[in-house]
Amino acid sequence: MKKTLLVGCAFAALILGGCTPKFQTVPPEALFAIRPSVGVAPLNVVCDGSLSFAEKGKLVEYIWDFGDGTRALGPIVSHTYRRGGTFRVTLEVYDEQGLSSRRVSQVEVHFAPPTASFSFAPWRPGTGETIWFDASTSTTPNGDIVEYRWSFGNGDWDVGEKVGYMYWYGGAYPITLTIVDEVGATAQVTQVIEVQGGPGCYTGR
Amino acid sequence: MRLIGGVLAALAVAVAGGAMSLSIGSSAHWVLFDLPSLNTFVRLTNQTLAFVNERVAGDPVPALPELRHGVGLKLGETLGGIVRVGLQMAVTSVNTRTQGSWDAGGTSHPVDISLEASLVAFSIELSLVLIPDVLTVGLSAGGGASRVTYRCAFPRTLPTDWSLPFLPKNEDTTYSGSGPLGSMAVGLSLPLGQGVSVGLEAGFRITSAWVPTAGSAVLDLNADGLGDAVRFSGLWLGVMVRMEFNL
Repeated sequence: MKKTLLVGCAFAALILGGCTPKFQTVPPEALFAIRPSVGVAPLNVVCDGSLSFAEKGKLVEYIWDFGDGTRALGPIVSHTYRRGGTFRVTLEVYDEQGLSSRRVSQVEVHFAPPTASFSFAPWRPGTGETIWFDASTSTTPNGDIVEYRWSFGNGDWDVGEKVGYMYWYGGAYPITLTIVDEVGATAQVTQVIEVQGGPGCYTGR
Repeated sequence: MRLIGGVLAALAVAVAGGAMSLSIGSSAHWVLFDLPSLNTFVRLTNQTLAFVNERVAGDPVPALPELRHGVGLKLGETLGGIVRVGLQMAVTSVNTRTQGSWDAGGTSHPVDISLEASLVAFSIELSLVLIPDVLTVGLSAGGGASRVTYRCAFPRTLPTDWSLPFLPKNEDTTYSGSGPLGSMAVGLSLPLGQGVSVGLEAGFRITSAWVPTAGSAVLDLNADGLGDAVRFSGLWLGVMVRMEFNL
């Protein structure tokens, strides 16, 4: 009789223990919101993980991985992306029982475009006269400009921040400057230069 | 082996030796459900709804009620005396739904989410009459087939400048699955005469957990890449009507 009672109790405990949520280990759920998820660098992103929840007890730890090698702790954090790219933002939450879960989202950071500009001197050059082109007014938010490429409108080209060039024939030439910054973003600008005089003519200036 | 033989022999004696009767019963149940994976989806959805509700002027979209209890029906037929054997079929169902709309910037963002889980169970029943016509205890074992119907229309772009990695999936799909199950029940009835009795029945169903599928798609409402296992274990309480015919 005792044995039967014992087996009956064990069976009941097994059923109740295995079937009621009270005794089950249910992991927490990581849930968050991001603002903004798309933008131009430098992009400040606010991440709100307070939407996360634990089925039992409360959440004790929020660990953020911003996908660019940086991490942060806490339910609500912010982070600035300084370069372009697509980054995986991961939130991992832990509850009081040490159970965890994670959820991933993406942030798309566009490269801010550089700005190409240049000046030249003299303002009204003649044939056979060296014209100096200066691209030092060009800028980029993505570090440094690594390449300046000049096209002189007659098939000739050169590279460098400051270059000199001499035309042998008068006329209007479109000068195109193309710059490339360290993240590979490019920009271009074109100005038309009027070269005075005929072929090979030295204007004496 | 000897034990099984003994039980079968006792059963045969009990069924054949006692006053044989055929009992047909039906009952309507109030059923408690234990569906943690589906309720996790419900909570994720409600967190999302609450977050957007806070940031959009106008009427909020109501929360999706959790799947906690539903209704069921059971039909059974047993044959025997003090020990009875028979067949039973049970149907249980639980559902939840929310509807609403966010209006922002002259655009309407309608929300309509419904989730229904149901189980059809077929089992072999073995019951023991403790007090004739009054108190019966029973055990059953068999198999069950479940359906989880998920219908959702949820805006892909939220009427807020926040974005969330979890949004309920837009789909209209019925997932199905099956597995073994068992139950135990106690019935207390009041004889009304002419072999008819009415009473109350309380029981507990235990099922294995299975992940419903729809073709090659696996039920994954939480969007965590893992299938959502469902299990229809839970208590029930019902009102029963039974008719008994002496053979």
